[in-house]
Amino acid sequence: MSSFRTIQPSPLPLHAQVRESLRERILDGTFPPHAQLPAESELGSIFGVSRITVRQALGDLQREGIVIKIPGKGSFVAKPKAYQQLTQLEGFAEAMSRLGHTIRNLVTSHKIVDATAQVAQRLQLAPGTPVSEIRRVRHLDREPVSLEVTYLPKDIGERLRHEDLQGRDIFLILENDYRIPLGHADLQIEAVSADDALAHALQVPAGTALLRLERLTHTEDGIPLDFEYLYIRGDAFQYRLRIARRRDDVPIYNRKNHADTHPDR
Amino acid sequence: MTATTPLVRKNVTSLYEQIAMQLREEALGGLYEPSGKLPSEAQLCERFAVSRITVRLALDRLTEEGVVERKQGKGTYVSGKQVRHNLDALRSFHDSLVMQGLKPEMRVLSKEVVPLPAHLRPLFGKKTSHCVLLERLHLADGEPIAVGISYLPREVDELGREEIASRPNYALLKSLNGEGIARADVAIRAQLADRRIARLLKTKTGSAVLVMTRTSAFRNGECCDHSTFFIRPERYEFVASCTFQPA
Repeated sequence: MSSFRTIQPSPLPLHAQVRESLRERILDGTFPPHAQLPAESELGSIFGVSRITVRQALGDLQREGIVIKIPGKGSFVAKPKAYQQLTQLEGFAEAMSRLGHTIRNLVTSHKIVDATAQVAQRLQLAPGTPVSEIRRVRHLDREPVSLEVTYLPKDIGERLRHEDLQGRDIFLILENDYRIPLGHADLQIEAVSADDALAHALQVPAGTALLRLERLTHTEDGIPLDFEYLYIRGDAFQYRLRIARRRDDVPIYNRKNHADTHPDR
Repeated sequence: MTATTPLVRKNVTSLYEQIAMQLREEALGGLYEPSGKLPSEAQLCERFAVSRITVRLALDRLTEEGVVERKQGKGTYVSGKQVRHNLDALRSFHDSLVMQGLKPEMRVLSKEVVPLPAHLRPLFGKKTSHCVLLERLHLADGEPIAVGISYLPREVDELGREEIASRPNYALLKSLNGEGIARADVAIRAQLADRRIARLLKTKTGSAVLVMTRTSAFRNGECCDHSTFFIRPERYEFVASCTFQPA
Protein backbone atom coordinates (compact mmCIF):
# COMPACT_ATOMS: atom_id res chain seq x y z
CA MET A 1 0.00 0.00 0.00
CA SER A 2 2.99 2.27 -0.36
CA SER A 3 1.31 3.63 -3.48
CA PHE A 4 -0.70 6.05 -1.39
CA ARG A 5 0.89 9.39 -0.79
CA THR A 6 0.91 10.45 2.82
CA ILE A 7 -1.50 13.06 4.04
CA GLN A 8 0.25 16.40 4.14
CA PRO A 9 -0.62 19.72 5.72
CA SER A 10 -3.39 21.08 3.55
CA PRO A 11 -6.42 23.31 3.92
CA LEU A 12 -8.57 20.40 2.71
CA PRO A 13 -10.40 18.41 5.39
CA LEU A 14 -8.78 15.05 6.16
CA HIS A 15 -11.63 12.97 4.79
CA ALA A 16 -11.47 14.89 1.49
CA GLN A 17 -7.75 14.18 1.22
CA VAL A 18 -8.31 10.50 1.88
CA ARG A 19 -11.16 10.49 -0.62
CA GLU A 20 -9.05 12.14 -3.33
CA SER A 21 -6.15 9.82 -2.69
CA LEU A 22 -8.42 6.79 -3.02
CA ARG A 23 -10.07 8.24 -6.09
CA GLU A 24 -6.73 8.70 -7.73
CA ARG A 25 -5.67 5.10 -7.11
CA ILE A 26 -9.01 3.88 -8.48
CA LEU A 27 -8.86 6.07 -11.57
CA ASP A 28 -5.25 5.18 -12.33
CA GLY A 29 -6.05 1.47 -12.14
CA THR A 30 -4.14 0.59 -8.97
CA PHE A 31 -7.51 -0.69 -7.83
CA PRO A 32 -9.25 -1.95 -10.98
CA PRO A 33 -13.03 -2.48 -11.23
CA HIS A 34 -14.27 -5.13 -8.79
CA ALA A 35 -11.08 -4.96 -6.71
CA GLN A 36 -11.53 -4.94 -2.97
CA LEU A 37 -10.21 -1.89 -1.16
CA PRO A 38 -8.17 -2.34 2.03
CA ALA A 39 -10.28 -2.62 5.19
CA GLU A 40 -11.32 0.60 6.92
CA SER A 41 -8.94 -0.07 9.81
CA GLU A 42 -6.08 -0.70 7.40
CA LEU A 43 -6.80 2.50 5.45
CA GLY A 44 -6.93 4.32 8.76
CA SER A 45 -3.42 3.25 9.64
CA ILE A 46 -2.09 3.84 6.10
CA PHE A 47 -3.29 7.44 6.14
CA GLY A 48 -2.86 7.95 9.84
CA VAL A 49 -6.46 9.04 10.30
CA SER A 50 -9.38 7.78 12.34
CA ARG A 51 -11.77 5.15 11.12
CA ILE A 52 -14.57 7.74 11.09
CA THR A 53 -12.58 9.82 8.62
CA VAL A 54 -12.02 6.78 6.39
CA ARG A 55 -15.69 5.94 6.56
CA GLN A 56 -16.61 9.47 5.55
CA ALA A 57 -14.26 9.31 2.55
CA LEU A 58 -15.64 5.94 1.45
CA GLY A 59 -19.17 7.22 1.95
CA ASP A 60 -18.48 10.12 -0.45
CA LEU A 61 -17.10 7.73 -3.07
CA GLN A 62 -20.04 5.43 -2.57
CA ARG A 63 -22.48 8.27 -3.21
CA GLU A 64 -20.59 9.11 -6.39
CA GLY A 65 -21.00 5.50 -7.48
CA ILE A 66 -17.26 4.85 -7.59
CA VAL A 67 -17.21 2.46 -4.64
CA ILE A 68 -19.73 -0.19 -3.57
CA LYS A 69 -19.95 -1.21 0.08
CA ILE A 70 -21.07 -4.73 0.74
CA PRO A 71 -21.99 -5.23 4.40
CA GLY A 72 -19.79 -7.80 6.08
CA LYS A 73 -17.45 -7.99 3.08
CA GLY A 74 -15.92 -4.59 2.59
CA SER A 75 -15.63 -1.91 -0.09
CA PHE A 76 -15.20 -2.71 -3.76
CA VAL A 77 -14.44 -0.61 -6.84
CA ALA A 78 -17.58 -0.26 -8.94
CA LYS A 79 -17.57 -1.18 -12.61
CA PRO A 80 -17.07 2.04 -14.57
CA LYS A 81 -20.42 3.64 -15.28
CA ALA A 82 -19.63 4.14 -18.92
CA TYR A 83 -23.15 3.64 -20.08
CA GLN A 84 -24.26 6.39 -17.78
CA GLN A 85 -21.38 8.47 -18.96
CA LEU A 86 -22.36 7.83 -22.54
CA THR A 87 -25.82 9.07 -21.95
CA GLN A 88 -25.00 11.43 -19.17
CA LEU A 89 -26.15 14.36 -21.14
CA GLU A 90 -26.51 17.21 -18.78
CA GLY A 91 -30.06 18.09 -18.07
CA PHE A 92 -31.34 14.72 -19.09
CA ALA A 93 -30.57 12.48 -16.16
CA GLU A 94 -30.97 15.38 -13.79
CA ALA A 95 -34.31 16.31 -15.22
CA MET A 96 -35.48 12.75 -14.97
CA SER A 97 -34.42 12.05 -11.46
CA ARG A 98 -34.70 15.40 -9.72
CA LEU A 99 -37.31 17.38 -11.53
CA GLY A 100 -39.67 14.57 -12.40
CA HIS A 101 -39.76 15.31 -16.11
CA THR A 102 -41.06 12.70 -18.46
CA ILE A 103 -38.98 11.13 -21.21
CA ARG A 104 -40.63 9.55 -24.21
CA ASN A 105 -39.17 8.08 -27.37
CA LEU A 106 -41.32 8.65 -30.40
CA VAL A 107 -40.61 5.97 -33.00
CA THR A 108 -40.89 7.83 -36.30
CA SER A 109 -39.94 4.87 -38.47
CA HIS A 110 -38.97 1.25 -38.10
CA LYS A 111 -38.07 -0.47 -41.33
CA ILE A 112 -35.68 -2.68 -43.23
CA VAL A 113 -33.23 -0.81 -45.44
CA ASP A 114 -30.17 -1.69 -47.48
CA ALA A 115 -27.09 -0.94 -45.41
CA THR A 116 -25.28 2.17 -46.67
CA ALA A 117 -21.56 1.88 -47.15
CA GLN A 118 -20.81 3.30 -43.72
CA VAL A 119 -23.40 1.26 -41.84
CA ALA A 120 -22.20 -1.90 -43.60
CA GLN A 121 -18.59 -1.14 -42.80
CA ARG A 122 -19.31 -0.53 -39.11
CA LEU A 123 -21.48 -3.62 -38.70
CA GLN A 124 -19.05 -5.67 -40.79
CA LEU A 125 -21.62 -6.57 -43.43
CA ALA A 126 -21.54 -6.41 -47.22
CA PRO A 127 -22.90 -3.08 -48.48
CA GLY A 128 -26.55 -3.40 -49.39
CA THR A 129 -27.24 -6.13 -46.83
CA PRO A 130 -30.76 -5.60 -45.44
CA VAL A 131 -30.60 -4.17 -41.90
CA SER A 132 -33.18 -2.74 -39.51
CA GLU A 133 -33.30 1.01 -39.16
CA ILE A 134 -35.15 2.49 -36.21
CA ARG A 135 -35.59 6.25 -36.00
CA ARG A 136 -36.65 7.68 -32.70
CA VAL A 137 -37.06 11.21 -31.49
CA ARG A 138 -36.44 11.49 -27.78
CA HIS A 139 -38.75 13.93 -26.06
CA LEU A 140 -38.25 15.58 -22.75
CA ASP A 141 -41.62 16.85 -21.57
CA ARG A 142 -42.96 16.73 -25.10
CA GLU A 143 -40.04 18.75 -26.39
CA PRO A 144 -37.82 16.93 -28.90
CA VAL A 145 -34.21 16.86 -27.76
CA SER A 146 -32.50 14.19 -29.83
CA LEU A 147 -32.90 12.12 -32.96
CA GLU A 148 -31.52 8.62 -32.69
CA VAL A 149 -31.07 6.48 -35.78
CA THR A 150 -30.23 2.89 -34.89
CA TYR A 151 -29.04 0.11 -37.21
CA LEU A 152 -29.28 -3.50 -36.12
CA PRO A 153 -29.18 -6.93 -37.75
CA LYS A 154 -32.51 -7.55 -39.42
CA ASP A 155 -33.73 -10.38 -37.19
CA ILE A 156 -33.10 -8.43 -34.00
CA GLY A 157 -34.68 -5.31 -35.49
CA GLU A 158 -37.80 -7.24 -36.46
CA ARG A 159 -38.05 -8.75 -33.01
CA LEU A 160 -37.90 -5.27 -31.49
CA ARG A 161 -41.20 -4.41 -33.21
CA HIS A 162 -42.95 -6.20 -30.37
CA GLU A 163 -41.21 -4.18 -27.67
CA ASP A 164 -42.02 -0.96 -25.90
CA LEU A 165 -39.53 1.23 -27.73
CA GLN A 166 -41.34 4.35 -26.57
CA GLY A 167 -40.50 3.78 -22.97
CA ARG A 168 -37.50 1.48 -22.95
CA ASP A 169 -33.92 1.65 -24.02
CA ILE A 170 -32.87 -0.72 -26.81
CA PHE A 171 -29.69 -1.62 -24.91
CA LEU A 172 -31.65 -2.81 -21.93
CA ILE A 173 -34.00 -4.90 -24.08
CA LEU A 174 -31.00 -6.55 -25.76
CA GLU A 175 -29.31 -7.31 -22.46
CA ASN A 176 -32.19 -8.15 -20.18
CA ASP A 177 -34.81 -9.64 -22.48
CA TYR A 178 -32.75 -11.08 -25.33
CA ARG A 179 -29.83 -12.12 -23.16
CA ILE A 180 -27.25 -10.62 -25.48
CA PRO A 181 -24.43 -9.44 -23.21
CA LEU A 182 -23.01 -6.16 -24.46
CA GLY A 183 -19.36 -5.23 -24.34
CA HIS A 184 -17.64 -2.02 -25.30
CA ALA A 185 -18.81 0.87 -27.42
CA ASP A 186 -16.77 3.18 -29.60
CA LEU A 187 -17.94 6.71 -29.72
CA GLN A 188 -17.29 9.72 -31.91
CA ILE A 189 -18.55 13.15 -31.00
CA GLU A 190 -18.76 16.05 -33.40
CA ALA A 191 -20.67 19.27 -33.90
CA VAL A 192 -22.85 19.86 -36.97
CA SER A 193 -25.39 22.40 -38.13
CA ALA A 194 -28.93 21.13 -38.48
CA ASP A 195 -29.88 20.66 -42.13
CA ASP A 196 -33.55 20.91 -43.10
CA ALA A 197 -34.33 17.27 -42.29
CA LEU A 198 -32.68 17.39 -38.86
CA ALA A 199 -34.19 20.78 -38.10
CA HIS A 200 -37.62 19.42 -38.92
CA ALA A 201 -37.18 16.29 -36.80
CA LEU A 202 -36.00 18.23 -33.78
CA GLN A 203 -38.26 21.24 -34.38
CA VAL A 204 -35.42 23.74 -34.32
CA PRO A 205 -34.42 26.36 -36.89
CA ALA A 206 -32.15 25.10 -39.66
CA GLY A 207 -28.53 25.85 -38.82
CA THR A 208 -28.94 25.16 -35.10
CA ALA A 209 -25.80 23.68 -33.56
CA LEU A 210 -26.18 19.98 -32.82
CA LEU A 211 -23.93 17.41 -31.23
CA ARG A 212 -23.56 14.43 -33.48
CA LEU A 213 -22.56 11.13 -31.94
CA GLU A 214 -21.69 7.94 -33.73
CA ARG A 215 -21.82 4.98 -31.42
CA LEU A 216 -20.92 1.42 -32.29
CA THR A 217 -21.80 -1.03 -29.55
CA HIS A 218 -20.30 -4.51 -29.55
CA THR A 219 -21.42 -7.71 -27.91
CA GLU A 220 -19.32 -9.06 -25.10
CA ASP A 221 -17.58 -11.23 -27.71
CA GLY A 222 -16.56 -8.13 -29.62
CA ILE A 223 -19.01 -8.49 -32.50
CA PRO A 224 -20.44 -5.14 -33.68
CA LEU A 225 -24.17 -5.21 -33.04
CA ASP A 226 -25.75 -1.80 -32.78
CA PHE A 227 -24.69 1.24 -34.76
CA GLU A 228 -26.28 4.58 -34.06
CA TYR A 229 -26.25 8.16 -35.14
CA LEU A 230 -27.42 10.50 -32.41
CA TYR A 231 -28.24 14.10 -33.16
CA ILE A 232 -28.61 16.06 -29.98
CA ARG A 233 -29.68 19.65 -29.51
CA GLY A 234 -26.53 21.48 -28.54
CA ASP A 235 -28.43 23.97 -26.41
CA ALA A 236 -30.01 21.20 -24.39
CA PHE A 237 -27.29 18.73 -23.56
CA GLN A 238 -23.68 18.06 -23.10
CA TYR A 239 -21.60 14.96 -22.85
CA ARG A 240 -19.59 14.69 -19.67
CA LEU A 241 -16.81 12.54 -18.40
CA ARG A 242 -13.96 12.47 -15.96
CA ILE A 243 -10.46 11.53 -17.07
CA ALA A 244 -7.46 10.70 -14.89
CA ARG A 245 -4.01 11.66 -16.03
CA ARG A 246 -1.50 8.89 -16.53
CA ARG A 247 2.17 9.32 -17.13
CA ASP A 248 2.04 7.97 -20.65
CA ASP A 249 -0.53 10.59 -21.60
CA VAL A 250 2.26 13.13 -21.83
CA PRO A 251 3.98 13.21 -25.20
CA ILE A 252 7.63 12.28 -24.96
CA TYR A 253 8.84 15.71 -25.99
CA ASN A 254 7.10 17.21 -23.01
CA ARG A 255 8.43 14.73 -20.51
CA LYS A 256 11.89 15.60 -21.68
CA ASN A 257 11.18 19.29 -21.36
CA HIS A 258 10.02 18.83 -17.82
CA ALA A 259 13.13 16.93 -16.89
CA ASP A 260 15.29 19.58 -18.51
CA THR A 261 13.60 22.65 -17.21
CA HIS A 262 12.29 21.78 -13.83
CA PRO A 263 15.51 21.80 -11.80
CA ASP A 264 16.09 25.41 -12.83
CA ARG A 265 13.11 26.52 -10.84
CA MET B 1 -12.77 25.67 -61.78
CA THR B 2 -12.27 21.94 -61.96
CA ALA B 3 -11.76 20.35 -65.32
CA THR B 4 -14.51 17.79 -65.88
CA THR B 5 -13.76 14.93 -68.20
CA PRO B 6 -16.79 14.50 -70.46
CA LEU B 7 -18.85 11.50 -69.36
CA VAL B 8 -19.60 8.67 -71.75
CA ARG B 9 -23.37 8.68 -71.61
CA LYS B 10 -24.06 5.67 -73.80
CA ASN B 11 -23.21 3.32 -70.98
CA VAL B 12 -25.73 4.40 -68.36
CA THR B 13 -24.80 1.88 -65.67
CA SER B 14 -21.27 3.09 -65.45
CA LEU B 15 -22.13 6.79 -65.31
CA TYR B 16 -21.73 6.88 -61.57
CA GLU B 17 -18.51 4.90 -61.81
CA GLN B 18 -17.08 7.50 -64.13
CA ILE B 19 -18.01 10.23 -61.66
CA ALA B 20 -16.58 8.21 -58.79
CA MET B 21 -13.34 7.77 -60.70
CA GLN B 22 -12.99 11.47 -61.34
CA LEU B 23 -13.82 12.44 -57.77
CA ARG B 24 -11.46 9.78 -56.44
CA GLU B 25 -8.58 11.23 -58.44
CA GLU B 26 -9.41 14.73 -57.27
CA ALA B 27 -9.78 13.72 -53.62
CA LEU B 28 -6.58 11.71 -53.52
CA GLY B 29 -4.79 14.34 -55.56
CA GLY B 30 -5.42 16.91 -52.85
CA LEU B 31 -7.80 19.11 -54.82
CA TYR B 32 -10.09 19.57 -51.83
CA GLU B 33 -7.37 20.61 -49.42
CA PRO B 34 -7.10 22.16 -46.93
CA SER B 35 -10.70 21.72 -45.76
CA GLY B 36 -11.06 18.22 -47.24
CA LYS B 37 -14.67 19.03 -48.09
CA LEU B 38 -16.10 17.88 -51.40
CA PRO B 39 -18.71 19.97 -53.25
CA SER B 40 -22.32 19.42 -52.18
CA GLU B 41 -24.49 16.85 -53.94
CA ALA B 42 -26.35 19.68 -55.66
CA GLN B 43 -23.10 21.19 -56.93
CA LEU B 44 -21.95 17.81 -58.21
CA CYS B 45 -25.31 17.26 -59.98
CA GLU B 46 -24.82 20.55 -61.74
CA ARG B 47 -21.19 19.97 -62.59
CA PHE B 48 -21.72 16.52 -64.11
CA ALA B 49 -25.26 17.28 -65.34
CA VAL B 50 -26.63 14.11 -63.78
CA SER B 51 -29.39 13.28 -61.32
CA ARG B 52 -28.88 13.30 -57.58
CA ILE B 53 -29.31 9.51 -57.55
CA THR B 54 -26.29 9.12 -59.80
CA VAL B 55 -24.22 11.46 -57.65
CA ARG B 56 -25.22 9.52 -54.55
CA LEU B 57 -24.24 6.23 -56.17
CA ALA B 58 -20.83 7.71 -56.94
CA LEU B 59 -20.38 8.99 -53.40
CA ASP B 60 -21.59 5.63 -52.01
CA ARG B 61 -18.94 3.92 -54.04
CA LEU B 62 -16.23 6.23 -52.70
CA THR B 63 -17.52 5.74 -49.15
CA GLU B 64 -17.33 1.96 -49.56
CA GLU B 65 -13.80 2.33 -50.79
CA GLY B 66 -13.01 4.48 -47.78
CA VAL B 67 -11.96 7.42 -49.94
CA VAL B 68 -14.54 9.77 -48.49
CA GLU B 69 -16.77 10.00 -45.43
CA ARG B 70 -20.29 11.40 -45.55
CA LYS B 71 -21.83 13.15 -42.61
CA GLN B 72 -25.35 14.40 -42.40
CA GLY B 73 -25.41 18.09 -41.63
CA LYS B 74 -21.77 18.34 -42.55
CA GLY B 75 -21.22 17.11 -46.09
CA THR B 76 -18.73 14.79 -47.73
CA TYR B 77 -15.09 14.80 -46.66
CA VAL B 78 -11.91 13.15 -47.81
CA SER B 79 -11.23 10.34 -45.33
CA GLY B 80 -8.40 10.15 -42.89
CA LYS B 81 -7.98 13.87 -42.48
CA GLN B 82 -10.05 14.08 -39.36
CA VAL B 83 -8.42 15.23 -36.14
CA ARG B 84 -9.39 12.64 -33.53
CA HIS B 85 -9.11 13.81 -29.97
CA ASN B 86 -9.04 10.71 -27.84
CA LEU B 87 -10.86 11.16 -24.57
CA ASP B 88 -9.59 7.92 -23.07
CA ALA B 89 -6.41 9.73 -22.11
CA LEU B 90 -6.06 13.16 -20.60
CA ARG B 91 -3.86 15.52 -22.54
CA SER B 92 -3.61 19.22 -23.01
CA PHE B 93 -5.37 20.40 -26.14
CA HIS B 94 -2.03 21.22 -27.73
CA ASP B 95 -0.57 17.78 -26.94
CA SER B 96 -3.60 16.02 -28.37
CA LEU B 97 -2.81 17.72 -31.67
CA VAL B 98 0.84 16.69 -31.39
CA MET B 99 -0.25 13.09 -30.86
CA GLN B 100 -2.17 13.33 -34.13
CA GLY B 101 1.02 14.06 -35.99
CA LEU B 102 0.00 17.65 -36.68
CA LYS B 103 2.23 20.65 -36.28
CA PRO B 104 0.29 22.71 -33.81
CA GLU B 105 1.11 26.28 -32.87
CA MET B 106 -0.27 28.52 -30.15
CA ARG B 107 -0.66 32.27 -30.24
CA VAL B 108 -1.37 34.23 -27.10
CA LEU B 109 -4.34 36.50 -27.69
CA SER B 110 -4.37 37.97 -24.19
CA LYS B 111 -3.07 37.29 -20.72
CA GLU B 112 -4.14 39.21 -17.65
CA VAL B 113 -4.71 38.84 -13.96
CA VAL B 114 -8.42 39.21 -13.27
CA PRO B 115 -10.70 38.83 -10.24
CA LEU B 116 -12.03 35.28 -10.14
CA PRO B 117 -15.46 35.33 -11.80
CA ALA B 118 -18.29 34.55 -9.38
CA HIS B 119 -19.37 31.39 -11.20
CA LEU B 120 -15.90 29.88 -10.75
CA ARG B 121 -15.69 30.59 -7.03
CA PRO B 122 -17.16 27.23 -6.01
CA LEU B 123 -14.50 25.52 -8.14
CA PHE B 124 -11.38 27.40 -7.12
CA GLY B 125 -12.42 27.93 -3.53
CA LYS B 126 -13.00 30.98 -1.40
CA LYS B 127 -9.36 31.81 -0.77
CA THR B 128 -8.71 32.40 -4.47
CA SER B 129 -9.43 36.04 -5.23
CA HIS B 130 -7.63 36.45 -8.56
CA CYS B 131 -6.57 34.23 -11.41
CA VAL B 132 -4.81 34.44 -14.74
CA LEU B 133 -7.10 34.66 -17.74
CA LEU B 134 -5.20 33.31 -20.71
CA GLU B 135 -6.65 33.31 -24.20
CA ARG B 136 -4.85 31.47 -26.94
CA LEU B 137 -5.45 30.65 -30.56
CA HIS B 138 -4.50 27.10 -31.52
CA LEU B 139 -3.48 26.41 -35.07
CA ALA B 140 -2.91 23.10 -36.80
CA ASP B 141 -0.84 23.06 -39.95
CA GLY B 142 -1.18 26.83 -40.09
CA GLU B 143 -5.00 26.90 -39.94
CA PRO B 144 -6.92 28.13 -36.88
CA ILE B 145 -8.51 25.15 -35.17
CA ALA B 146 -9.52 26.37 -31.71
CA VAL B 147 -9.70 29.27 -29.31
CA GLY B 148 -8.82 28.34 -25.74
CA ILE B 149 -9.95 30.54 -22.84
CA SER B 150 -8.39 29.44 -19.56
CA TYR B 151 -8.60 30.49 -15.95
CA LEU B 152 -5.41 29.41 -14.22
CA PRO B 153 -3.87 29.99 -10.78
CA ARG B 154 -2.46 33.45 -10.32
CA GLU B 155 1.07 32.06 -9.89
CA VAL B 156 1.09 31.26 -13.61
CA ASP B 157 1.62 34.99 -14.13
CA GLU B 158 5.07 34.67 -12.60
CA LEU B 159 6.24 32.22 -15.25
CA GLY B 160 8.27 33.64 -18.10
CA ARG B 161 6.56 35.27 -21.04
CA GLU B 162 8.12 32.81 -23.45
CA GLU B 163 7.11 29.83 -21.38
CA ILE B 164 3.50 31.00 -21.30
CA ALA B 165 3.55 31.64 -25.02
CA SER B 166 4.97 28.30 -26.01
CA ARG B 167 3.77 25.69 -23.53
CA PRO B 168 0.39 24.05 -23.06
CA ASN B 169 -1.63 24.70 -19.89
CA TYR B 170 -0.79 21.36 -18.37
CA ALA B 171 2.94 22.01 -18.79
CA LEU B 172 2.53 25.43 -17.15
CA LEU B 173 0.65 23.88 -14.26
CA LYS B 174 3.36 21.30 -13.86
CA SER B 175 5.87 24.12 -13.59
CA LEU B 176 3.96 25.44 -10.59
CA ASN B 177 4.30 22.44 -8.30
CA GLY B 178 6.43 19.98 -10.23
CA GLU B 179 3.64 17.47 -10.17
CA GLY B 180 0.98 18.65 -12.55
CA ILE B 181 -2.66 17.81 -12.81
CA ALA B 182 -4.19 14.53 -11.71
CA ARG B 183 -7.57 14.53 -13.38
CA ALA B 184 -10.12 16.58 -15.23
CA ASP B 185 -13.83 16.76 -15.72
CA VAL B 186 -14.67 17.33 -19.35
CA ALA B 187 -17.94 18.40 -20.93
CA ILE B 188 -18.57 18.58 -24.65
CA ARG B 189 -21.34 20.46 -26.32
CA ALA B 190 -22.21 22.25 -29.55
CA GLN B 191 -23.09 25.88 -29.94
CA LEU B 192 -23.14 28.65 -32.51
CA ALA B 193 -20.04 30.78 -32.93
CA ASP B 194 -20.41 34.38 -31.82
CA ARG B 195 -18.75 37.15 -33.81
CA ARG B 196 -15.48 37.15 -31.95
CA ILE B 197 -14.99 33.38 -31.98
CA ALA B 198 -16.03 33.23 -35.63
CA ARG B 199 -13.52 35.92 -36.54
CA LEU B 200 -10.68 34.18 -34.71
CA LEU B 201 -11.53 30.80 -36.20
CA LYS B 202 -12.05 32.28 -39.68
CA THR B 203 -15.51 30.82 -39.85
CA LYS B 204 -18.98 32.33 -40.21
CA THR B 205 -20.81 33.91 -37.27
CA GLY B 206 -23.63 31.55 -36.34
CA SER B 207 -21.92 28.42 -37.63
CA ALA B 208 -21.73 25.42 -35.32
CA VAL B 209 -18.64 25.02 -33.17
CA LEU B 210 -17.65 22.19 -30.89
CA VAL B 211 -17.13 23.35 -27.32
CA MET B 212 -15.08 21.53 -24.72
CA THR B 213 -15.14 22.76 -21.14
CA ARG B 214 -12.51 21.30 -18.90
CA THR B 215 -11.94 21.61 -15.17
CA SER B 216 -8.67 20.13 -13.98
CA ALA B 217 -7.46 19.39 -10.48
CA PHE B 218 -4.15 18.76 -8.81
CA ARG B 219 -3.67 15.55 -6.84
CA ASN B 220 -4.95 17.20 -3.68
CA GLY B 221 -8.25 17.91 -5.40
CA GLU B 222 -7.54 21.64 -5.78
CA CYS B 223 -8.97 23.07 -8.99
CA CYS B 224 -6.18 24.59 -11.11
CA ASP B 225 -7.63 25.03 -14.58
CA HIS B 226 -11.00 25.95 -15.98
CA SER B 227 -10.76 26.10 -19.74
CA THR B 228 -13.19 26.41 -22.59
CA PHE B 229 -12.11 25.47 -26.10
CA PHE B 230 -14.13 26.62 -29.08
CA ILE B 231 -13.23 24.25 -31.87
CA ARG B 232 -13.81 24.41 -35.60
CA PRO B 233 -15.89 21.30 -36.14
CA GLU B 234 -15.29 20.46 -39.79
CA ARG B 235 -12.51 17.99 -39.24
CA TYR B 236 -12.45 17.60 -35.52
CA GLU B 237 -14.05 14.88 -33.50
CA PHE B 238 -13.74 13.44 -30.04
CA VAL B 239 -13.47 9.69 -29.72
CA ALA B 240 -13.92 7.52 -26.69
CA SER B 241 -14.26 3.88 -25.88
CA CYS B 242 -16.69 2.83 -23.19
CA THR B 243 -17.89 -0.34 -21.58
CA PHE B 244 -21.53 -1.12 -21.33
CA GLN B 245 -22.92 -0.97 -17.85
CA PRO B 246 -26.63 -1.43 -17.22
CA ALA B 247 -28.04 1.23 -14.94
